Amino acid sequence: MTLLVYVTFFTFIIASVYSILSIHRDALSYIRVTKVAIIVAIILLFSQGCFLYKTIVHAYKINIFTFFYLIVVFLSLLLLFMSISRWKDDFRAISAIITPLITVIYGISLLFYGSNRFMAVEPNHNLMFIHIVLSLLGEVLFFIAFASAVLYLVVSWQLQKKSSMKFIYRFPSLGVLNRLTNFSLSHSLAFFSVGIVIGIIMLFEVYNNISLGSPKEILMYAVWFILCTVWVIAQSKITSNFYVSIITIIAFVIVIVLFIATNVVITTGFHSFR
Amino acid sequence: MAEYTQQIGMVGMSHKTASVETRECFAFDTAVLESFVANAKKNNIDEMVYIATCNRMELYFVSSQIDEAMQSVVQLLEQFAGLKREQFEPVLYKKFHKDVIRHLLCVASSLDSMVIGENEIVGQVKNWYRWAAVHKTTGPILNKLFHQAFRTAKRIRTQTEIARNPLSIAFIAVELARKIFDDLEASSVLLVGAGEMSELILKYLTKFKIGTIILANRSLHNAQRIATEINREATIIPLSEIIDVIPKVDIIITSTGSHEYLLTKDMITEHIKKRSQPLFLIDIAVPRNIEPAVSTIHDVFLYNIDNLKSIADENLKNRIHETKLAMELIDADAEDFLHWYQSLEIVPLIVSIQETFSTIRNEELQKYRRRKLKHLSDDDFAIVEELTNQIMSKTLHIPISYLKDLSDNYHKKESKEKTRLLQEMFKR
Repeated sequence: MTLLVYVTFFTFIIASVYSILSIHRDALSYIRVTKVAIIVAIILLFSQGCFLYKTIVHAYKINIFTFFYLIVVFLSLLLLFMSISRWKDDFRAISAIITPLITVIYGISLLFYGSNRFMAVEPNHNLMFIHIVLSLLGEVLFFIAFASAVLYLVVSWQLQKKSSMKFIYRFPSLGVLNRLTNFSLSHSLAFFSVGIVIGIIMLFEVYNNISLGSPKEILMYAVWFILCTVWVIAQSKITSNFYVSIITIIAFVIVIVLFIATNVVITTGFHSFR
Repeated sequence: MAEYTQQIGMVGMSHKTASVETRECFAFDTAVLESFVANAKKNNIDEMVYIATCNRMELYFVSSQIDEAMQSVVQLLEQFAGLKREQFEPVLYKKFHKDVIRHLLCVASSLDSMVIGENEIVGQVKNWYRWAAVHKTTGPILNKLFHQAFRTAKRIRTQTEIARNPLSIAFIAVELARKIFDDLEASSVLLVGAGEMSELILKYLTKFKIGTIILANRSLHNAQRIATEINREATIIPLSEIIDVIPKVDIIITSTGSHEYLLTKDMITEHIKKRSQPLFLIDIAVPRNIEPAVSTIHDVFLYNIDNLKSIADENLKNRIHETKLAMELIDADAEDFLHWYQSLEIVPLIVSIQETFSTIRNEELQKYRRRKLKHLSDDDFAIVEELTNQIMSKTLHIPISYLKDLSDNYHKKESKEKTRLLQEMFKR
């Protein structure tokens, strides 16, 4: 398993380097290597699931590494979805930002490989699976919104530079990126909201209370509030798409820093790694 | 054994060698061309394809007597163009064999065009090839060569950036608009003033089905003329009303003779606050109509004529840089074609071996028919004939399969030596 984890990480590094090179150089060989490396990395990633499956399903508890692993799996699934969906024409540019992002998250997860701190998947309820899937989907779609917001700024900067069209051609148009940001924000908020509501229902059914007031629970509401604020700003069109992209990036950075820090620091209460 | 001696040749002239006055004399209409082809066939030319575009006239041909064929073609050109040989021969280029292959691949891939990377030439070459195929003037060699040229052109178009970056200023403006708005059908444009370049940009935008068009002009008659020319419904307003319509548009093209800025940073800043979508400004006018400081506003993209020109220059540099990669692809494809072409030398050898065995079989059968098999009826003898034919076919199956494999690797020295040896063995 350890070897598999490190080989996967190494393959993700190769995929990231080549995905950036394929945008920078535009050589067909780089594009091919990127595709192969992404596919191999994802296959290796999924094959780890055979080892982690037992802990999640049978023991009903996950450590920090497994938690990050699930985020990486969902991001990879979204990446695969984008390669066949209406975003497929712009997949090269999108993968050049999402693949390195996956690699960074996976790299962070390696710091916790073999960690003895576990989060108990409680309460034992039949809605738990849906709660986890929807919450994780909400989180990873926020990642996608961040990626497209970064790309928006890159394309905008290239257009302001007024140099050659060589690079501009390799990126999606500002219109497409704006649509992707809005799509990701809307779906992220929707999934996250439903995930939270299901969580509240489960708490009420098991503990007869809609909140246990744990720090991580409050953090989840804070993340939802940030996400909701960004979504409202994007939908209301009170500012330009340029500023919506900047706000999305800032919001995402705040959320990811809080997310990593609280998972490491908080060791008590609901949702925490003990 | 008859040696395979068919060779490829070409003769032509292009914008690089001949003036338009000379080139137009060789732009034959189809009736003249049919007569030209008929004459060519009488002069040992086995296959022929004629290509004529506004920049070139070229004739590709195949003959077993290539030097004589070249003379005949030049003679026919003299006869059909109505020019004396000394008037056009200095601007004529003549190529043989490998040079012809590389040249056609370059032409079809637009590396020899006036504008490198343009995409019309491959369509024109395809049309002329189709004409030749319909008039049955092509054969196995030119068919293979032209299909190879079309494949190479496609490969170069997809594997290099040669055709990607536009060179025309008007087209660059439209491509930039597409990179900003994605869906031009949902976008609107305001054309302020009139000018050749700005009208051309508007025409390109209408080709991409731009949504709303607003024309602002000092002379409403002029604006009406533009609307008629682009054949689209447009709102016409006087110049004084442009401030009112700015919030409704995504693209503004300015091209007036005004010596003062029509659009200032303050005006655009005020306007951009009311919208979330980017704004694309194209200032074609000299002196400029839009204050340059506008370009510092986020989500406002201002391009003047110099910006567009420098992008065009940069794109041209990129295209020239890409020709190096394209030439590598052409060399590789030309080499592949040559391997196939050289392998044709095996075909007469196979035929020769089959003929040798068949002759021996027939001679021996006839001899036996006259002596030891004379008691056989015609039906029985036919069975013997069929039997010997079967034995011969099966005996030759393995060596002929081996020869076919050899033809796939004909470019290798070892394969050539083996072929030569076999040619000697079956020389009659």
